[in-house]
Amino acid sequence: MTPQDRTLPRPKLLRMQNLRRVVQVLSFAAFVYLFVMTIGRFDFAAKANVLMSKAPIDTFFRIDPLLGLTTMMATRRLIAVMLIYGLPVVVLTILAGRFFCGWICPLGTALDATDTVFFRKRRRPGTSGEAGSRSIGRRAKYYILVGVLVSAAIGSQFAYLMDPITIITRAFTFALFPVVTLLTGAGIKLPYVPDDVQYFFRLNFLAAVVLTGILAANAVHRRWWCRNLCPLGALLGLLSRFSIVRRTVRTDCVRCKKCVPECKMGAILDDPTQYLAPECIYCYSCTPVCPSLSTRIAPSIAGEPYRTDLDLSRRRILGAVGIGALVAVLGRTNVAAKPTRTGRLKTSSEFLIRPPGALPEDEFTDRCIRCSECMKVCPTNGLQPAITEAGFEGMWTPVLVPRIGECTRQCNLCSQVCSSQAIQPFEIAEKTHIFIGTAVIDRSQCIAWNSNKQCLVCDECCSYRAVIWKTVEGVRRPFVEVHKCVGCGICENVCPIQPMAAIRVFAFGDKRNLSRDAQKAYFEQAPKE
Amino acid sequence: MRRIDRREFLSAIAGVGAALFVGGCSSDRHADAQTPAARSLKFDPSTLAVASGKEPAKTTRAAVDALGGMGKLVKKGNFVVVKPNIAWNQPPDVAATTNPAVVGEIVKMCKEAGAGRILVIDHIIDKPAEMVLGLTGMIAAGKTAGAEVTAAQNESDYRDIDIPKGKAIRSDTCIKEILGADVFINVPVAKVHNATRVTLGMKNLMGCIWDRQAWHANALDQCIADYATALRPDLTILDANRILLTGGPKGPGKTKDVGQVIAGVDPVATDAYGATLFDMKPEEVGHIRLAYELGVGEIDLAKVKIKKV
Repeated sequence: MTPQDRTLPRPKLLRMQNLRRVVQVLSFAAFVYLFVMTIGRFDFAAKANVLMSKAPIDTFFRIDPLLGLTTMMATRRLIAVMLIYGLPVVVLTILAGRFFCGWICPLGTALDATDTVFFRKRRRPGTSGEAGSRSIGRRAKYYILVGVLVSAAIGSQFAYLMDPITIITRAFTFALFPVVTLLTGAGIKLPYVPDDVQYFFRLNFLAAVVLTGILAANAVHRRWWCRNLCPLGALLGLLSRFSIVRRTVRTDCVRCKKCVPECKMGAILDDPTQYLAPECIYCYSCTPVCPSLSTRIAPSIAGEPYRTDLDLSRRRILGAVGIGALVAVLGRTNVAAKPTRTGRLKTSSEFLIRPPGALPEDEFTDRCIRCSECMKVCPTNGLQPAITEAGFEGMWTPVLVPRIGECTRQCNLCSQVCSSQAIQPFEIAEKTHIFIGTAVIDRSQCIAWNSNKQCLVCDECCSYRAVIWKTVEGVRRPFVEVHKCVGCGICENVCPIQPMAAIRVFAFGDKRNLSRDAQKAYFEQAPKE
Repeated sequence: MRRIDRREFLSAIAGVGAALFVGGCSSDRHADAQTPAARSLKFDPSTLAVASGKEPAKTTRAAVDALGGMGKLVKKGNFVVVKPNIAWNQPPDVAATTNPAVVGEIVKMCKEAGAGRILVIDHIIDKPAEMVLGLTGMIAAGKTAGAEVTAAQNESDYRDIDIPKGKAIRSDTCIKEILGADVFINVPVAKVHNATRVTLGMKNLMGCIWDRQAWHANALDQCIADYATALRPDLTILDANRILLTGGPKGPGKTKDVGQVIAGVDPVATDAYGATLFDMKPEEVGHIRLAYELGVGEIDLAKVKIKKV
């Protein structure tokens, strides 16, 4: 080997490691920007609420191939936006490896930042070498991926439980965003933050704990989550088997092993010229520390030593298949919002009120990737994550909780942000006949019925003229016209009766199983005024 | 660096805590004794100006001029609060909200009189408030004329006020800007109302409070009358260019183009005249009668000078 053959050390600023850091920061900034922009504003020209930004605010969900794959498998449909945005990531990963994790993933960036801030000086034994790369945890992500894919194949969407993009977005929406609105409520005006609603989300603690738990796991190993659990990382790792960009180590390697603890993923083996290719996230941490400058990451077709074996156990794969199938089958037994033969709705919860435009329940839970964007954008805060309303399969999916906020009349923002189109697009004018529930008056609680008070707030606020008053025994009392009541819940929201409103919206009026035309025909049965 | 010991640290914490506690005690959520009810009257309270015309802006100006002009009420540098009815997410032609041309003209007249800050504000019911401000045309009209247009949607935007003469309520809340204003102009739109028969000036003041539901659950007419004893606008300008006859207060419903703007200082007299637009006797409307009984103003239109222009 001649000295000229050696790579000269690059200027510090131009190192790939620093380029990667810049891209990470930009990608994270883009993620935050798109998150912040997930907010509507009134458009004077359109006379409706539109998104503040023309940017595709769901970009990160579209480019996530795991979400695209499982959603399309579970629903057995091609979803154009997910395909168009997701395929380039797949192709690039096949060609250039698992760069997504090291360069793009916002959770990965958050993990790296946490590591730098909190765990920089922490000694973490067992993080490297043969021992580290052979741990059972390392393979767990592949089993998780198998389980998720099997349940998707059977028709249940469970990727949301472990997908990194949805995990970090949910933490942002449910935990961080309401804290920011506390500031605006206290009079500190911030751009792109609503100042007329103090946001609150159920399950906010769970969302925060999941994210902080993942970040805190850095204490065990660097990027512990990415190494051991992330199914998206596993999918990209599998795709990167044939990548032509490889880490290569020249023969003049002095075996100093300085690169081994530097590897964020612990992918470098006891022989530092060898590494586990599917684990490499192309962070370029190993190249600048190499004293002989013999480590490179570059396109290469030569058969340098690397390993692509996953060393999965057949028994465990079978176990993962079994668990995935079992979970999916359990999910399939959900009775949520199924019509019986007589056309009556059978629902797992009378409070299962979906946003307008939502697909019929089975397809809805399969498509919904639980990204929480619809709940972030909902101007009244009425859309909340489901806890048990839709069963375990439906956890984190959006349900309307009218006591927190109604489905406001001039708005279809939730359908505008839904990347998997679990909430189908609809026009504002169609809202008169998209039935999500029906209001019921509890006459034993209603003060116009039980104590002759002049109230009628429900009638006053109804946007659809569905609550009407008639004079009964000399007193004006409210009635619900079922053909007009779409279940928006404004009546329940404004009813002065505490703790439970005297007029409440229930799921039995949900007509998602009918076509829009059939729903319109039902609406037209209403008596003319 | 000098290190502080535990004793010093605790005493510092205690000191800061005590200071915060004392500071907190002194901040009184009650407004100063000077509530708008105590303001001196600038116009003749027994006169009602009724202007008719096809153009809302011109009619508004004519009504105010008939009383003596805005210059009599608004002095140079005054802080003016205009309170239209912008509760609902309806375009102006539904007549569920105050005509933006009326509001714009009022702002313009205040500007001409030399007003400083002019604020158009309401407590909006439909959400989001920003959309309602846009759809009702209020932002376009108010901002062009030179006013701030906003909504009081947070509890922190409100202060407590006492209602010593109240029968159903002895205290309530009010938008804090109204309490701090030099001039407070109430600009209701005339509509029918499902619960209170009509909604005019005094009913429009319900948009100044934080918790409306409490009034519905209490005794609505009495609460409206009680509140009118405590919060008295310097001027009420009733927009009756187009009135809503059915489906009120939110609409949509049948409307009638009356083409009138009524300006008056006496809230009861203004509302009494407004009720006649709906072919109702003022006494038929509970809250107008109750307000009269509480001495807020004159219900008998025969005793009021009506100046038609």
